[in-house]
Order: sequence, then C-alpha cells, then structure tokens
Amino acid sequence: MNGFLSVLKAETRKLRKRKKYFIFLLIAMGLGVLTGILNTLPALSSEPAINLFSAAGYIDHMFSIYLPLIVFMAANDLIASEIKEKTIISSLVSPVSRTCIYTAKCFSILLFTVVQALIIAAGNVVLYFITDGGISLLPFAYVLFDAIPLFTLIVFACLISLLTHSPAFSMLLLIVSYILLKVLGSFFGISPMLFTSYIPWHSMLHGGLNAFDLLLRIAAVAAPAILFLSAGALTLEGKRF
Amino acid sequence: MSAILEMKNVSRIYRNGRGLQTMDLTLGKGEILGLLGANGSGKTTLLKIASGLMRPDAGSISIAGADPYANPARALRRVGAIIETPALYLHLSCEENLKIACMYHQISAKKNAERMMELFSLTDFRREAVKKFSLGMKQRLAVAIQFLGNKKLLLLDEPTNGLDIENAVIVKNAIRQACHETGAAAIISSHLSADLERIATRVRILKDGRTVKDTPIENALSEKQTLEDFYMSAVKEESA
Repeated sequence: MNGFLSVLKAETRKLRKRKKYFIFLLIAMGLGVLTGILNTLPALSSEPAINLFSAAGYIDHMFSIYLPLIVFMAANDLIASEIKEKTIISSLVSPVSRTCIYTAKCFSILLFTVVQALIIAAGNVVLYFITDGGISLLPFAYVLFDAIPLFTLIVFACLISLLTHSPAFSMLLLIVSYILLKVLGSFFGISPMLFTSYIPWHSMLHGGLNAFDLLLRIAAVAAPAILFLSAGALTLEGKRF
Repeated sequence: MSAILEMKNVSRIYRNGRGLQTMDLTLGKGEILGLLGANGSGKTTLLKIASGLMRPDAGSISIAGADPYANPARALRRVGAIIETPALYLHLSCEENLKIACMYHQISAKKNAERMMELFSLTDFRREAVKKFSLGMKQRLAVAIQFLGNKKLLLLDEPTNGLDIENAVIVKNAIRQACHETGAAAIISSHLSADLERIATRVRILKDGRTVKDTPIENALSEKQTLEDFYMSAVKEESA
C-alpha cells in the first residue's frame, strides 16, 4: 500500500507541475464568467433554447467536454509521452510492481481530474448565485457522482495511450473514439450500452432514478472499467523496454 | 563475500538472433564491474535484465537474495539504473526530479534530494527546469538520482556519455566514493575504456552476447598496458 501511495503522490505531482493544466483551468473558469455575463443580458437569458448560457448548461458542457479532454491529456502525459521519452523506466526500476504503477497512474488522473472538477463546481456555485440568486451546492454532488463513470473513461484513455505510445496519435484516437461513441450511441439508440454516455452522469439525478436502475448503470460502467484496467495492467506487465 | 547480484544461466535472444547467450554473473559488495563490448554485444540487455526491465528467456536472477520479477518490492528497493538515456522529466526542475525519484523509492525526499544536489554540484540549479540543462548536467542529475537512498546495486549505461572532462570527473569520483563508502556494487557499461580503468575493479568483455573475458582490472592492466589493448587482444583471440 505504501508503494501505491508513493507512486500516486509522484504521478499527481508530475501532473500538477504541468502549466498547461492551469491554463486550461483558467480558460474553463473564464468561460464560466462569460456564461454569467451573457446570462445577465436580457436578450439571451429570455431565450430558453440557448442552454449554453445557463449555469446548468455550463457545468454539463464542462463535464462532458472539458473533463474528458483533461483526462486524455493526462493519460498521454503519464503514459504515452513517458514511454516515448523513456522516462517511464525510472518508475519501472523502482520497488513497486508494474500493475501497482499502472493503477496508481490511473488513480492519480482521477484525483487530478476530480480536483479540477471541484474547482469548476465551486465556480458554478458562484455562477448559480449570479444567475439564479440562490446558493446551490448541487455541483459538488455532481462531481462526486460523475467520478464513477469518469474512472472508466480514464482507464480507457490509459489503455489507448499504452497501446499506441505515440502521444499525438493517442490523443487523436481518443478524441475521435469519444466523439464517435457519443454519436453512435445517440444515432443507434445504444447509449445505455456505452460507457461514454454516462458522462455527465449527474443528469440521471434529475430523472428520479430508482436503486435498481442505479445498480444496473454502475454495472454498465464498472464492467468496462475492470476490463480496461486489467488489459492495461497486463499490457504493461508484458511490455519490453 | 556476500553476493549482491547473482545471475545464473541467463539468456535473452531477440528475433534478429542477437541478445544475451547463457550467462553467469556474480557481483559482490563494493565491486565495480566494467562492461566492454561492441554495439550489439549484449551490454544493455544485461543491464535491462539485471534491473528488472526485461525478463530473461531462461535462467535465474537475484538481487540481494530476491527475484526482481517475482518480488520487485524487495529486489529493486536498493537498485539504481540508467539504461540507454537519462530518464528525466524535462518540464520539472532539478529538485522536483530528485523528489519524484525519492517518492518512487519510498525514501525521505527533502534530506536525500538536498544531499545529492550537494554531492553532484547541482544546488545552484535546483529550481531550474531540466529542459534548460546541458547534456552534461542532465547526465549528472540522472546519475545523482541513482544514488538516492543508499543503493546497493547501480546499473549505469554509459554514465559519462556526453560529459566534458570536469563533469566526467565529478561523476566518476561520485561512483567510486559511493561504492567505497556504502559497499554498493555497480555495473558500468562504457565505450570509453579509459573511464573504466579509473573506476572499475573488474572488467568483463562481451562479444555477440557471450563473455569473452572476466578478470580483475589489475590483472588486465598487468597483462596489457591499457584496457583498450586488453580488449582488442581478447576479441582477436576469440575470433581466431
């Protein structure tokens, strides 16, 4: 357990020290401010079709576009780039098993993304206050709820990064497959079978979900998560450097 | 002399037929083994196998009594390795690189990082991003990382590669000092036989994945004037 925690700490530190994530977060927050300003404009706020300019629309877009993007970049930085630059060797020649290193990498991305999501949620609370005049802590609940399907996306991204070990190709493949799965899911009506459809998961909260449905949905994201995580760990175990 | 590294009948053959033929190797406390050989002679493969990076096709390996593939937590706790290129995080500072290495090896970051920066004259560059470092400084930092936490086995692939005279002397002295003080064993692969003459206690010559000669450095230097001459004569003898 000590080994896992040490690697988790090291991997999170590596992500934290990359300036691009801070810049992306600033952009995301800037979009939130812009949403707030636009929402106060009478011409836009009176138009219900323009969902983008509402607090709820903002968090939905952030969770379904921004967070997956952060996940893909982080998976690329911790896996594909490290394999390409051979920096992964320094972690592999350490007293921790490869499976443990791989799992720690996945969890560090989860931790990092959840922190980013919590900051966005905090911004969203302010946005709610500006647009609706009340204080709602619901965005924080959204983050905790969405972390479950987010982990499936993380292990999927890590597996793709590991298999391609080309940062540029891996990023392209991840973005294309994410969009494709989303589009195919809606087009053929198979969304409930695809793990990408559950992001943002919190939208289920609005539909009066019962316990049985919730369990089914947890199974629908847990099954691919276990599959992707095992495949990734096994691939790294057998990989030659 | 208790063995720190023990390899028995280890072999690893690549698809092109190159690699490492059946090889035995025992390395005791404080021993510094210099590996000499042409490109493709199996030097890096040997280091990769010893560091737990590449599983051998056959044979057994133990580091301080533990198998690095079955029990990495025990075997690799005290192993430092530079294989092929210095594995550094370019976007991080010198200090951050040392701290991350401490985390991987589960040792106190602050004290150990500080000590290594002093030993390798890196203190003035602690906050500087590694991407701005010269090749020599990168190599110095990479070697410094391998010394963190009282390592028992150091596996260094061309540790003085790209270093100017001053940096090369710092690195060579540090290797010798660390092995002498802590009793750590080291395997150093190098194309520069003069470097090995200064630091190695033993030399092994590899050719086509096989050991051609393995002898204490004094014996090699009493037989021939330089290690280069010793290498050339050993390889010629083998080819004849």
